[in-house]
Order: sequence, then structure tokens, then C-alpha cells
Amino acid sequence: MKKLSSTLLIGLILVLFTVGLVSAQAERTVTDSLGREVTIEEVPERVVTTIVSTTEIALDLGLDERLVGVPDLIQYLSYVPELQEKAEKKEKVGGFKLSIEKIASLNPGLVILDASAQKDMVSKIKDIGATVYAAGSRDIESVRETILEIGYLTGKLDRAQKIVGEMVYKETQLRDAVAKLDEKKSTFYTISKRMYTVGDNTFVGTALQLAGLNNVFGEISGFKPVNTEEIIKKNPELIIATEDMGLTAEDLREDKGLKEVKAVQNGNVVLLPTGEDSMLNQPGTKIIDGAINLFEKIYDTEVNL
Amino acid sequence: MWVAGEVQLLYLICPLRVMNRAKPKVTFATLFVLLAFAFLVGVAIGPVSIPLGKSLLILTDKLPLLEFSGLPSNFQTIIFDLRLPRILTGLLVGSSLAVSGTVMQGIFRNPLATPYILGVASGGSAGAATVVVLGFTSNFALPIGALIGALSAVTIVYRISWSRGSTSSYTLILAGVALSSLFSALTTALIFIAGPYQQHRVLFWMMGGLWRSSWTLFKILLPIATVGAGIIFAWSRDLNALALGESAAEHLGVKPALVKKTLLGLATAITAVSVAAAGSIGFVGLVIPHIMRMILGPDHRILLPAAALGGGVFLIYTDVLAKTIMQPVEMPVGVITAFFGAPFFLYLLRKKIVGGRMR
Amino acid sequence: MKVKVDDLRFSYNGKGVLEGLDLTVRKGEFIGIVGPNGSGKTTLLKNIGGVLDPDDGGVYLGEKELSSIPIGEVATKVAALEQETSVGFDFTVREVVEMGRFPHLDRFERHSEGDLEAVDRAIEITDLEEFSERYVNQLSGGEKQRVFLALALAQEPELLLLDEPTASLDINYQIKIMETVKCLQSEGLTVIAAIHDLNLAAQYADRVALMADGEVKVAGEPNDVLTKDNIAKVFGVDVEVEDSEVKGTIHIFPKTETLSK
Repeated sequence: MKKLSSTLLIGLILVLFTVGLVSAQAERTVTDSLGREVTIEEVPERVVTTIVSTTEIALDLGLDERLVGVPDLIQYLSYVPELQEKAEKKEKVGGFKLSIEKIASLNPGLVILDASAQKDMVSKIKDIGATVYAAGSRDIESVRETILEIGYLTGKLDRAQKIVGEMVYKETQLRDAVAKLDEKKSTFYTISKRMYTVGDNTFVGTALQLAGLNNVFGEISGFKPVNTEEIIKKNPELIIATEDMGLTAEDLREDKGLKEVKAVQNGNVVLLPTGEDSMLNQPGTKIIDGAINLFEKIYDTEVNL
Repeated sequence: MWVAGEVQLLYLICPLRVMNRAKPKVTFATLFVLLAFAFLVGVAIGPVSIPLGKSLLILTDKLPLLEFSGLPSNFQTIIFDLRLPRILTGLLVGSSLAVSGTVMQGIFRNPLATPYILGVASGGSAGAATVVVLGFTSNFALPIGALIGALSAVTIVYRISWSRGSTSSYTLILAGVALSSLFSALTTALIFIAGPYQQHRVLFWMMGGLWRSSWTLFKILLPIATVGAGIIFAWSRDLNALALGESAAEHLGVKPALVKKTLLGLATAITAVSVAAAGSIGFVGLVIPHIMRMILGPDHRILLPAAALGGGVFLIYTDVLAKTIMQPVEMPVGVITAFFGAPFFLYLLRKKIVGGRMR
Repeated sequence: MKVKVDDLRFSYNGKGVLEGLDLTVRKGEFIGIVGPNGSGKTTLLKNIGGVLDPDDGGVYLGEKELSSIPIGEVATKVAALEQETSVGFDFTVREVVEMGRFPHLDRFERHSEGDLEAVDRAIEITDLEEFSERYVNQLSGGEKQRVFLALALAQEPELLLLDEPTASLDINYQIKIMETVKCLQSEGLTVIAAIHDLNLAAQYADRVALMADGEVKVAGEPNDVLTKDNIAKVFGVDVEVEDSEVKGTIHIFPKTETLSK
């Protein structure tokens, strides 16, 4: 029954999407995450991506040949080594700050920007004559849309539908598994000794919810530091930490304040190695895999795929 | 004559404020009461609510032979390992910054001088950023990097501006400003080349705060801050003499170059250590010396200890606010100090004290 | 205090300011240093006060060479009133004058009765009683100058150095300050004063040293030094010198032709 419902859901999403597109077959038009109409006359031969997740999406869509520019910090794609390897060979177009000149020199037909972080670059890139598509990273749904739209614009709609279909299927299976849990674990997720944590409205926050974890600081907005006392007050059963910023399990175990927290007392501290947390951080195709990975690790249960 | 007119105008604005100067004894008594109260507030108020009575019981628990107990062990941890070291660290950092600010303002005879005027803060940031980019991750890597950065920035400023055993204050300030920009640029460059996680580490560090406080940190800070401030207090008469100008001071038997070297050196050292411990926290070192000078007058023999107390008390209170005002998120305490400090400073500007009469 | 300046040489940034200057000041004497701007008067005073160190030659205070006396000890014997004075921050008159006791006290020593008496006396002599609780920065130029004179007097010095103390003051303040100093001289104070106004120098100084090009050209009684010829030679201006109505003083004024030009 459940399998059926998920298949139906996939079908529905894909049909709706395709129907919306049928009318404009000759030239392709989509509405991107900034609400802009993006029209492409012909399939772009040269594509530039400016953040890690869209690089991942483009490569996953099979655009290897056509992808000419990628962001500097491609090492954060280490969670899919074969894609990272491909991306490393491309021209780098900047990180913190994009190099417009570099992008212009690559003569791209399509430049995929990040809707939230690179909004102000849209007009600048348009000025160099490239079509700009702004990718969404607000939540999983916007990621799915982005994958489909990039697939459509680049003539890889079939592959995009397959990827999204898998994502939806896996997500449904994961939700099923989560539903079977007796209790969701209350969790404190931290990225540094400064006790920076995330709210539910971040991408990682979404991934945590998907993985069946109850973020004790879900109500905060974005990435913020919390006082150790607050953690004692919330008394989470589980602490998930990322080691990217030099945090070690030792640090957490030996922290005077955290000693009072159930998670540390019961040894429930999970340190995510570099890569595994990027998978949760990147609004790309692997987000569901990341959440499943986390779920299986924490609850020691396999998701039925 | 217009000069006379101006003088008369000044009388109208601030009529014989000498009369309004507070008595040192009263002021110090008030400050000690405020400090005691700050301890109570700091111990009793925090994200986890613990009744004041219980907090005090927990403190007495730590005294030998007294064991009231019966209280949850996490209360003990919160009070003894989180709140108490944080109050004490705040006291030392706030005092150091205020004492250092007083010294800088006194030596440069400029009410705009801050503890960071010679590049300590930007040097500290650059040092911290370097350590992060080089990939050091141990607990003390950042503070040590910051300390080295802060001290090297100031050493360079001194080396550039000191010639033949002496220097003009302008040269020092200009060198400080120039080197600060250079080190800020270096920090920006480091942030630029760093990976995103490293960038975050540097940026977190640059938002100063007392979250790093621990007994270990307090034990390292205590001797440096107290010895540094102690020697500075012992030189307060010399600082008074310098207010009359360098050559007038020299006629009183004070060697301006020696006083400057000693006091700037010590002020820099205690600032550098507090920067290493808590990052750069603005406005304490600028505003507290001002307030104390307005209350007590400029005599450094009274002003310096008063600033030390005032700075410590101010930082303890603002830190309690930082911890609680946006629960569960902790604000950087520098935001709170600026929130109180900046309006006050603007008020001073309005009163035309800055740049005019106090020069 | 007897002061002897012996072949004093001082240069600033490689440019010679004092070029082998000799001067002897007797104990209890008021000596006026006159000379055109840039002749090195201020530099000479700073060398005598120990603020500048001579390149060559020496300054003797009493029998001792200045450079061999610790600066703190010099300050118990020598005080100075400088040309330009300023006070950072809102110190009161009394607070500034109290700093004059600085050289006589150890680092942590408090003011004794004697110290406070010296301060009171300095304030009294300079007629600053009504100002004593006022901020120095709120006083006029002349009043401020008196505060710094009081500061110097509170040091209870044996030698007082005055560097054009009256240059920017109204006539009443000029006279006030000179009279005060003259009065203290009668109590045994030795005074070396750079004086801009030749008439003032002639009136108050026991002896006058005429400086030019980093040397003392002539020194002696005002009538012998401030002659028509000397002034013409050093200042390059024609003046008339007359005996004044005040006994024993002279009066110097520009020639009328010079004026009418």
C-alpha cells in the first residue's frame, strides 16, 4: 500500500511538471526560484555552476561534457568522489566572490546561480550575455524543482525525472521508517566549540527532521551560538557534531557543562566525518541519502529501499 | 575678547562641575556594592533558572567542611563551572580593558584613545585567522595565535615609531592606525583564502565574547591582569604628570619616554591577553574611563582603580544580558557593550567634550 | 643656586643651535636672556633644566654636573615655567599645583602637612585662591600661566627657569608674574628667564645675557648690555635707549623715523 502511494506521488509530480512544460517545446521557459522567467532558445552547450550543490546536480544530470565552470571550494563535494573528481578538472570561477571576468571568459550559455546567496550577481551575469538560472535551496521541495528545471533547460529532463523520482521514493521510505519509531531522539547538532547550532529553517535542520531527529533548538533561525546552560536545560539525548571546524569527540566529552547532558552521560555523541555532514549541508541530489545515512546510523535500523 | 566669551559660555554649559565630583570613598563603596551585586546577578541569572538561595548554597558547598548538598549536580556544574569562571573572567577582561583604555587616553591625552588604538585587536584577529588557516584546531591554538598576533602588531608599531628612545604620540597613533588597517586587510585576505568552515571559525572568534571562560583560562589571566594593572596603578602619578605635557612632566622628574614605554607596554600586554581570552570587545575601554573620569575627575591615582572596578562590573552585567536577552541564542557581548557604549559616546560628542575642551 | 654653563653645544637634526655657549649665574640672581627669535633661548633653558641633553660641554648646578644628577633629584631643585602650557583633562587648579610636590614624594607617599603648606603658599603667592577649585582648562591664558607658575613654586625650587612667561599675556598679567618672581627672588630663588620684551628684561633682571647665533654675545648689567649698538647688531634695528623715570632702569623704544616708515 505504501509503495503504491509513493509511486503514485512520483507519477503525479512528474506528470504535472511535464504538462506545465509541454506548451513551450521550441524554446524552453521555466520560472526560477527568484520568480524570474528563464527562457532558453536552444540547449546550452556551455554551463557554469557557482555553488557546490548545483555542480553536483549538473554532474548527476550527465552534463560533464558541457559543464565548463565550477566554484572554488569543490572539495566539499567529497561525499560523491566520482563527481568531485570530474569537477576538479573544470575551471574555477570563484567562491566567496565570483569572478565575473572568469565566467565571461568561459562564454557560458547558462549560468546557474544560488537564489539566496548570489541574488545580486544576476544582473551582472546577464550583462555578459549569459542566461541566468537561480537555483533554490530553501527546502527539499525547492531542490527537487531545481533539479527538474535544470534538467529541462539543459535537455536532460529524463535523467532529472529519474533522480527526483528516486529522491521522492527514498524520502517516502524514510518517512515510513521514521513513522515506525517509538520516539524521536532529542538532538543537539553543533558545528563548533562555540556551540553554534542550526534551526529547523536551515537545510541541515530539514535533513535532521527527515532523519527522524528532534532538533532541541529547532526554533532558532539560521546558524547561531547557544549558551552551554541552554544545552543543559534542553538535555538532549543525542549530540551530533561535525568535525570540519576542528571539533573532536574529546572536546564534547570533556566540556564541563556538557557533562551534565544525557547524551554525553550515555555516550550518545556522534561525530560526523567531513563529507557526511556536507551531504546534509548541500541542497543537492544526495540530501535524502544523507538523511537516510544519518537515520540508519542513529537508530540502527535499515530503511527499506 | 572671543576667548573670554568662549570661557563664559563653557561656564554656562557646565557650571563649575568640580562641585559635582563624587567623593572617591562614596564612589568606591558604590562600585564594590555594584560588584557584589554583579556577582549575585551573574551567579543567579542565566538560561537555567536557579533560585538565588540555592545558588548561594552551592557556592558555600565548595567551602571545606560545609556540605549542604541535596541539590542536583547539574546546578552545581552550572554555577561552579559555567557561571562563576565566566563572572571572574569577565571581571578580569573588563578591568583590563578599562585600565588599558585609561592608560591610552592618559598617555595620548586624547579621550578618543582605546585599548585597541595601537593595533592589538586587529593583530589578534590576524593571529587567530593565521592559526585557523594553518589548520591548528587545538583548544588553545586560537588564543595563543591571537596573543602572538596582538603582541607582534604592537611590537611593530613601537619599532616603527620609536627612534632615539622616544616617540611622539602622533607617530604612535598613526602607526597604530596604519598597522591596524594592514592587519585587518591580512585578516580579510586570510578569511578570503580559507575554506568556509575556517572562515566561520575566524568570524566566530572575531565576535568577541566570554563563552570561552573556564577556570583554566581564569587562572592564566589572573596573574597577568593583576600584576599588569598593579604596576600601572603604581605609576599613576607619572600619568598625572604627563597630562601637563611631556616637558612639564620632565621638569617634575618624570621621564616621559620611560613612562610611555612602561605603561603602554603593560596596557598592551593586559589588552593582548584579554583579546586572546575573549576576542575584541568594544566600548568598555573607551567608555568606562570616560564615565569614571566624569564622576571622579582625572586624577589617575583614583581613576585607574575605579576604571578597573567599573570595567569589570560593566562587563559582568552586559554578559548576563548577552546570555539571556535572546534565549536560547547567545548574543556576542560586544553587541551589548556597543549598545550601551555607542549612545553614551554620541552623548559625549553632543556635549562637545570630545576634541574640544578635554584635549 | 649657582649655575654654570660651560661651552655648551647642542644641535637639532644636525643643525647647530647652541655653539659653545658660556654663562654663569650667581646664587639668588635674576638673569634675563634676551635675543632674537631662533637665537636658542628656549634650547638653552631646556638644557639647563635637563629636558635636553647637550651634545658637548656641560651644565653645572652648584658644584655638580647636571647629567650626573638623577632627574628626580633635579626636579627638587629646578622648576620651570614654559612658554606654552596645556593640561589634558579636567584637572583643577589645586590638583595641578599639588603635582609640584611630586619630586619630593616617594611613589606611594601621601602629601604631608608640609607638602600641603607648600601648595597653599604657591596658590597664595600667585593669587589663585579663588580659582583653586576651578578647572585649569576653563581659565584664561594669563590665569593658566599663573597656575603653572604656582606648580613650579610648589616644587620649592632653588632655581626657576622662565621661558618667555609673559609673551602672550596682557600687560597686567605680565607685570603680575614678573612681580611675583621678583618677590621670590628676594627670598633666595635664582631665576633664569628668557624674556622677549627688552624693557621688561631691563626692568626686572639683575643682569642680562644677549644671545645670538647660539652664543651669549654680551652679558652684564642691563644698561651695559642693552645699548643702542648691541641691539642694532643683534636685532638689526635702530632704537633709542633712555634712562627711565624709574630709578636704575632704562627705556628702549624704536626711533621715530623707523616708526613713521
